Amino acid sequence: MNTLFDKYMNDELNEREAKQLIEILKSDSNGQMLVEYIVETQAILTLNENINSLKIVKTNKSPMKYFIWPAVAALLAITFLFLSTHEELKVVSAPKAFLISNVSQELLHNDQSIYPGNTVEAIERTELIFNDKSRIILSRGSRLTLKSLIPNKELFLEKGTATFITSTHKDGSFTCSTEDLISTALGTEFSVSKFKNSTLVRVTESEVLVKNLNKELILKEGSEAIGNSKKITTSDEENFTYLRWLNWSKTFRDKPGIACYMPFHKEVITNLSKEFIGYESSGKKVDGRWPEKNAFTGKVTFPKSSLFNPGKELSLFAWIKLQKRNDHPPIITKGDDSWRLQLDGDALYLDLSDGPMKTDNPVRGKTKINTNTWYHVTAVFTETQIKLYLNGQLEGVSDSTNRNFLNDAKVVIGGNEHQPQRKFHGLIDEAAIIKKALSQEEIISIFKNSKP
Amino acid sequence: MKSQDEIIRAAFQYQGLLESYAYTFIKDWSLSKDAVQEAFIAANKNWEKLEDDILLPWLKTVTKRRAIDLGRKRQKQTSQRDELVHLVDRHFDKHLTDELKELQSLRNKFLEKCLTTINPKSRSIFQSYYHDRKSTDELGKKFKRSGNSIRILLHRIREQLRKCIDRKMDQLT
Repeated sequence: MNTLFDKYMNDELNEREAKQLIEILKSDSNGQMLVEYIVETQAILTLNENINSLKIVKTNKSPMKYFIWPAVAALLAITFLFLSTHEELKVVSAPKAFLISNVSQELLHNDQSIYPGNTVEAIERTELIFNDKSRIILSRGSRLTLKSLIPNKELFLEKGTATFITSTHKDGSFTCSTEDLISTALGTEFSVSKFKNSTLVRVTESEVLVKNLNKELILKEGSEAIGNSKKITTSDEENFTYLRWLNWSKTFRDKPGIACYMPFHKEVITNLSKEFIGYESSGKKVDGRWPEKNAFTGKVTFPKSSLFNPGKELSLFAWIKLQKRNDHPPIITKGDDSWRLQLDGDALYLDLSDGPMKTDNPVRGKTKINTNTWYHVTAVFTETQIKLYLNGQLEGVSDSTNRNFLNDAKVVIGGNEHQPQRKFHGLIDEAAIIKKALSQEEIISIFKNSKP
Repeated sequence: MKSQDEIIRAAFQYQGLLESYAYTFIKDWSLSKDAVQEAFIAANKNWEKLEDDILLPWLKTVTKRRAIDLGRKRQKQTSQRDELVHLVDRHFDKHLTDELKELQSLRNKFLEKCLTTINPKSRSIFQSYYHDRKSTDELGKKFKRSGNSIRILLHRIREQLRKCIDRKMDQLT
């Protein structure tokens, strides 16, 4: 009988089966069974919409406020539920963001209203605001859909990072779901980052209840959780930072413009860039940023490639741990007469040459680099400047308009083709060369997601 | 007399049941949701006429009308025979009651727990079917089984779930 019920549900009954079901349904108890079967199917469908999820619900000190006021507010607001022309969500800043509805795609403009069913794709950082002053900040590349406004604000984050800053006096709850999780909060600040196979939740203010099918836990202010439908790991657990980095790294490596990305954490040294080119390595894997996870000591040399002659913009980054000081230890270089990221004395040093043996306004870091300490170093070349960052913070900047990327030198991690005697005595991990200028926001995000 | 808020709050309690009812006419869960939402809009407009004893029958009538209208507008044709539609409608008329609402709300609480008892592979198939709305044939290709064996597996899971929920219900009494 259940087979017939299933076929009925899927509208797949043939003539004979339809007749058979009609006969069966002449019995009242069978009819009742079918009604219950359909109702149960609806319940399963509703549950399955949430089943792959972590659920986050802000815990509240006042249960009355938590349960009654949202319900009352939701009911009072019912008038607006489907008929209202009242605009609830507006764009605050949208230098480059697309509104993608079911029928069209248009460039968002400031003060534009967003309605349930609309998707926003942020080409640049975009801020959205609700009438009650709750805000959502979308990082570059994020894609978010507004599912509903009343009784609850419901959003779906497909990719990227969304930070939710909810007003403290508002009443309805606030829900953000991803493929992995659903997060609901009241009066709190938290961010949700969607990685390839998992989701990271960071709580900036107040407490949040995180839940998936197997586990439920309260995230305290300042803590984080990463998870999918099967597993949640919190920042209190030993392997959390490694898992957070691993998940972030899987998403990062697929971004466009990455010429080289070498995390070094596995036994085999691999360039994970999509634009893969060969390389030679002379060195060995050693303990890295996390116990039993590798880093690299030695050097990796890339063949001459146009990938490293990108034209106007370029960024380099790496984690470094210096073990012994020596003369100008190179981090990532393209010989001596193109670009060099290295140490000079106690500090970082970045330069860009405009010809053989000429140096155009180099940048020297302000912070002393200690031995046996991990640092995240980033160099950014824009059209007019070169910038140096240490652990996500700007160390120095200089004007530089001369470009001489097109020298013949090979790119070397941990070495310099023109100065083979120079060596980096220490560990290098997660080195990358990107064919665009990273913004400070992106550099901070890379640092936060990859710090041990 | 009940306030507008109380009437609408009561109406929302029937949401799941009404979506199931709407489904029998249009065989499309997304349209069923729309039909019920439109019924709630109508309830919000007409709340003064609605009292407890007529709320559910009124919502059923409006949901049915909206579902049929939506089906026509979206040209959602089902291949069901009229006789079958009337028969199912009659059963819904009889069995879609406040008792069913209470019972279902209790069973739903156990449903989530019972889903965790299904082994991961079966759960993955179950979720792909009900969540991603994949057909049994598509799932068959993905999991290298025949569409029919997927159908049987889904049956078994539903049976397993039902038994699990029944067990938990028994423990309550």
